[in-house]
Amino acid sequence: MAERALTSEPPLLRVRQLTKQFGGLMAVDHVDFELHPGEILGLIGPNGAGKTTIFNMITGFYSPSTGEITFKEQCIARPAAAGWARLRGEQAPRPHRITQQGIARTFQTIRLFKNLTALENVMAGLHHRTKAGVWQALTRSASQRAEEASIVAEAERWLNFMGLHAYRNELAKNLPYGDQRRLEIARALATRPALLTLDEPAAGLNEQETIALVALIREIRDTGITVLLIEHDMKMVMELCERIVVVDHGRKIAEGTPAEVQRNAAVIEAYLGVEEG
Amino acid sequence: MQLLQQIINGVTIGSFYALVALGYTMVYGVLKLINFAHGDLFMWGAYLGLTGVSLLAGLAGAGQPWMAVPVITGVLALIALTGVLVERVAYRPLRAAGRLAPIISALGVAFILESIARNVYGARWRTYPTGVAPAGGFVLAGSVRISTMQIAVLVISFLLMAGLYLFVQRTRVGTAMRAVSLDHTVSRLMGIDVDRIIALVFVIGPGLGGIAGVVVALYYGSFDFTLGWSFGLKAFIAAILGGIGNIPGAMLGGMFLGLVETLASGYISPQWKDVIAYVILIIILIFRPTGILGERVAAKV
Repeated sequence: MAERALTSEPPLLRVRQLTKQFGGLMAVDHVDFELHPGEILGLIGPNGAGKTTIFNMITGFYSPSTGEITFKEQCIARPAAAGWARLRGEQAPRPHRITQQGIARTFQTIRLFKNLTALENVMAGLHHRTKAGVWQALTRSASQRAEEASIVAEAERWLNFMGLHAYRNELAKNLPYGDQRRLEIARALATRPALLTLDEPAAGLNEQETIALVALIREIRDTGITVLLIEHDMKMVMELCERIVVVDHGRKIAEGTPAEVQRNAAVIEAYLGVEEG
Repeated sequence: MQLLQQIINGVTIGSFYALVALGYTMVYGVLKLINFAHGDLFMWGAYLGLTGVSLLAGLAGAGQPWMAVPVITGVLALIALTGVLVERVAYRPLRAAGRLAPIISALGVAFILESIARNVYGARWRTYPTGVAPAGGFVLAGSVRISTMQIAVLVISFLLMAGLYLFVQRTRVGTAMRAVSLDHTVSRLMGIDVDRIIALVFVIGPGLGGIAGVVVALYYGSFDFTLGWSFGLKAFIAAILGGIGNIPGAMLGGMFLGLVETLASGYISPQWKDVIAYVILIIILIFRPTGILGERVAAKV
């Protein structure tokens, strides 16, 4: 990480003392980590370690109990306001605001709009960037038609990028499983994120599809998008990620390069040891 | 010959059901909520139309067909506004509260709207001033005739439904609406402002209901405050029959119910039309529990 320290660029995402309590359960316990522009960071840990909870706080689905998350040096998550503060409207940004700021995500279990076509799914991802309101949509002004056409063109570009153009007018639910995963990524990319967060993107893929996915994620990163990845497939994480953060029982137990993490005693005990031992 | 006449009448009534059914089905589509207040919003359309037409007729000295245009426009705006208000006050605060609380809230709104209508306009039957509903008609063949009013109803309904269908299928906002109907969470994540889309549904649905209220009252001439329950309930049934949540389904269900009722009434007996219509309805639901278009939900809202 020496070369990172030399650059003056601030981290894209900074997670500070992030904590989430569900009743008596400490799902996430004072976790800190940073994500630098252009890197691929893996977040790993045994089942129930708190990975998805961290994800849900980054993407605005949960508010942290304490701690905060900053993105592009702006606070995007802080504890939910209570009492009077809530009435004054001091609430953490909701998911659609976070998307507008440049974070996109995919889901552990595929959540496409099943009864929309592949193209329409990607168009939904482009929705927030359009200006035309309901009135323009109804009157179909020339500028509105032009905007509509450019949206379709851009959605098609993303389908092409993910190699899904053949499915343009196919309902999402009719796509093969692996292609549904790719379509979910295409839809996330269409929101033009600075940060793409992937929740177990290789789940359910065969080895060949996983290899293709690794290449694809690299390609995405090379377009300038930072990637945060939760993954169970160790081989994939070790191959793809430049840095890895390991959590267990809600706490961060290690951070470093794949090689460093693999040598870490706490990690071996908590996770790798169990899996590979 | 008689069959053709029955079909004309049936399709006219069917398009009323369809217009009102659209409001039920669109709200169900995005919120999975049966908006029981919808029938009463429709009924308020009839009453507000009565006020508007009476006012204009009073000023002009007599009812004229052109008066329907400003009245329908005004009613559309007012009922849409009421719809948005109902959603904001009675449904949105309960959105996280499961499915039962909003339904009870909807029933509450229905009773409130009905009681206000009864208290303001009285419990007696009210009649629109004559001269507003276009008179006359055309003989198609032999004894088969279609009235100018029926033509107006069919043209208005067709334009509204075709417009709605194109809006939902072809525009980006329509796509967003369909996305919201499939998954609120992911729609939010795509940057779609779900609350705004839901508000829009409460503009369009009640708006169509309000238009239907004026047109139904013009067609039948008189009505009372139970219109929301009696007529609204049938429209609700039409929505279920077509496959609730499905826009073409609501149109189809409305037409179907209107036709079956009219044919049963014409060929068998008006007293038995409801019995026959609903026996057929139950049989259809046994074989297609999700409604006629219940599964092919490509055009769901």
